[in-house]
Amino acid sequence: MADAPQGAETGAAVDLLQQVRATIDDRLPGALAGDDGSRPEPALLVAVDRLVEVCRLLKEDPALEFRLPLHVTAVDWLTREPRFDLVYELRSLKLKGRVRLKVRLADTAPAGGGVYADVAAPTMAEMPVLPSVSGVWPGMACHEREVFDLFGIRFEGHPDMRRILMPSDWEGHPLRKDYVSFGEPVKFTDRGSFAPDSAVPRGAPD
Amino acid sequence: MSELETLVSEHDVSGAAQVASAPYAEGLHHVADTPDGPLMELNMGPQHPSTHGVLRLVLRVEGEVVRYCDPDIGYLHTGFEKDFERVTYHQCTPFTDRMDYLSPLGNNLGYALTVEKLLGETVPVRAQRIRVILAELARIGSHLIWLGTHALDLGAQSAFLYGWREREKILEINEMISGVRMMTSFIRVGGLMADTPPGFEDAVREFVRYFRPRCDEYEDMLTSNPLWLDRTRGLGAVGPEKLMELGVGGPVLRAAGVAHDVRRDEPYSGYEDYDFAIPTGVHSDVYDRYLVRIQEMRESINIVEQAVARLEPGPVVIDNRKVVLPPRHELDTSMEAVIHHFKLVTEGFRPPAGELYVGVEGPRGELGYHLVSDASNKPYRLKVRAPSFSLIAAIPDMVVGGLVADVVAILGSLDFVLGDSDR
Amino acid sequence: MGVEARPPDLTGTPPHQLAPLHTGLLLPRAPVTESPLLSSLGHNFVTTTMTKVIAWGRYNSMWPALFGLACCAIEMMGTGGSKFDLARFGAEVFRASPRQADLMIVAGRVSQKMAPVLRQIYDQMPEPKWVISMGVCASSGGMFNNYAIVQGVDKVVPVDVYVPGCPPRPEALLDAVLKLQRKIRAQAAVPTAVG
Repeated sequence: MADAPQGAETGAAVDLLQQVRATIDDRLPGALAGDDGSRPEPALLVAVDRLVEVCRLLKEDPALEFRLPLHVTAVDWLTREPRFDLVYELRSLKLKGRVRLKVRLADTAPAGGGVYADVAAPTMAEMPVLPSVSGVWPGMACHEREVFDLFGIRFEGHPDMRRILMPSDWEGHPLRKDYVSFGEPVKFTDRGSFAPDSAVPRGAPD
Repeated sequence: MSELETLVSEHDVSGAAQVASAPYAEGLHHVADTPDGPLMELNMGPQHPSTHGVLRLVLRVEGEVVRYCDPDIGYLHTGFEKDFERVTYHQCTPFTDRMDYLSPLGNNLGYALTVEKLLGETVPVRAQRIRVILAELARIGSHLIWLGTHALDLGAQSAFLYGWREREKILEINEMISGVRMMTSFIRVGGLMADTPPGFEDAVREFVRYFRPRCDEYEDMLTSNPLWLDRTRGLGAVGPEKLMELGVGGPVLRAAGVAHDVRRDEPYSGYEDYDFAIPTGVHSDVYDRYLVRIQEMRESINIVEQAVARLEPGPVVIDNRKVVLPPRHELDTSMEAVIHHFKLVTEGFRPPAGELYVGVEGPRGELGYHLVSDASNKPYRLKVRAPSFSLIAAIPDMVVGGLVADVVAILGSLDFVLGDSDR
Repeated sequence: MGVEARPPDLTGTPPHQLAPLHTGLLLPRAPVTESPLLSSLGHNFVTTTMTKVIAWGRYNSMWPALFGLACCAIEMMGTGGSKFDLARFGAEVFRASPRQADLMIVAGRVSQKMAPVLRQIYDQMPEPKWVISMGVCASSGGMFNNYAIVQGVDKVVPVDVYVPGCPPRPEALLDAVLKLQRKIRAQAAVPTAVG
């Protein structure tokens, strides 16, 4: 329909998700931990140790063929345990649709901060780690580097784990919620200085 | 065979594709130094006329042949995603203009669709049609810059001046509707900034009439030009399977023969009602990408013509005062309108909690917005899936084994934007 | 010769460790019209006319170095295009090599990673050289008040003309170039310190 928002709760998107879930449950039982309950588009929760198998299945299964990886990114739920959500978005040209995989990852480092925080940024050994899917899709390698750079999450088996956007000697991982995005204080009125409030961490929804 | 012929035959398509499809991961670790000594390391960029932005390529060359390439980005990293978490949903719109700065309205559209889907709202039909017109004009504008800069790099300076001549007309239309030439922020959550002024439809029709023969003009200049053919045919060929694995879509994937377009797979804003073809290429080389983009400009102008023919008077914003500002004249008489206005400007609106992804077809591939909302007035996380990020990751597969001069042609054909990839 | 003041050599310092230089108007710069010949002639009618002629030559053919970074670069290219045509004011060619340029138009936002590159390109330009900071991002950090963007390129290089706008219209950039030309002309009229 011309007026429907893109894919919102349409039959096609729901069917696709069911098909993917059925295939994974059939071939790799136990790999999925249900859907993550988010609306309007739920994602499939994958166990960390089964991630690469699930991705390979999604790519190579002749009925699914999720051969175009869109991106992998992370969400930092600072006040939730486990802290990080790793989100994988995949596209299938054959099914003309997308699927989202999610992995929940706990933080293993002592409170990781930034340049202006009291605590030093986590070292490589201290960072949370999960397997890399760049062996399945080489195109995910650069996205995983970005997650490493901006969140401080390491990927096991990645061919080239180093920063991609920030300078190589930068300290801290800017997109973490406890990283203060320092702005220059700008006085807009005579009542004191204005400082950006991005340092305020916000919690996960109920 | 003469030396030149040998050189040319060594760089035929099949040969380049074999070398180019060596896995990127392998290239990083097993850089072979020649028996005569280590390869020469060259820095291409970040200040360079042909890198189309602040891109740095670390090349290792053996004579003129590139043996290793490592793209180094981040020279335009602006921290957009951190800023998105700091400002309200409406305030995010001007930020989105400045990411892929060659087609700002395309970015606006993707963001607006994402938030509208979270809100469960659909904009009125007139707004959808105007959005399609503006998005396609933005696509044409971006392709004109691509043509101008790509041809300029390869020596055809006239194409640069022609491209900007046409682009000025598009920028005049932008200025007519919003007052701003480039970063209009005209497509907003809930509809448009305002209804278009009376001269808009005539200006668009005049542009359609003016622009159609221009595509033929560009083809006259370049398509059969022996210099252009020599410099672009057979370069940077990577098979469609490999391109998909690298996350590359858009015109580059279409030039490899894959008819994939997000406007077909997951239509938005009424694209399923317009009649347009998806041009594809065959050899996946620089020349085919050029042909695909020229044809895309023709298809875009067809879409614009269809959309402007269907324009009818009507509202351009949704009827939800909690999301969209009330009309200006109501502020004189209605207290409720004043309160809505005040709340929207100071606090913004609060969409329900949720997580979603919306992808639109940008001029360089799928531009996606992954939005996580925690029911507050600011996005909790807004990740932008930038098509240029994957395009740049595909560079090594295309340039290794070719000449340094070919790197320039291949970079031009990929048409990435560093503002988009670095965010 | 007057005092030859040079900024401290900070190349190689990561930009996020640079203290703000505030080099806008405070950094002493070698006067444009200084030369041993003129100094030896002292001040008279001949030398003042010569300095005016030299300045005229300089401002009427200022060649910009290519330093387009982001969106402002697109408007800068538009200014060089056929509708607005920067070439009619003497900025005929945008030189890729800074060694052959005398004007650096910093067009776009400067990230922390790019700042040392900016400084190096500026250092590679021979004297006399001028800098136009085009757009609000180059002038003050613009709308990006965060960890990634240098809050004004005058923390890294000295700037002659600031152009507000996001991006500035091509006419605004032309106005900046003309202002800079007037500035150079005005500098020629001022007697230079000799000895």
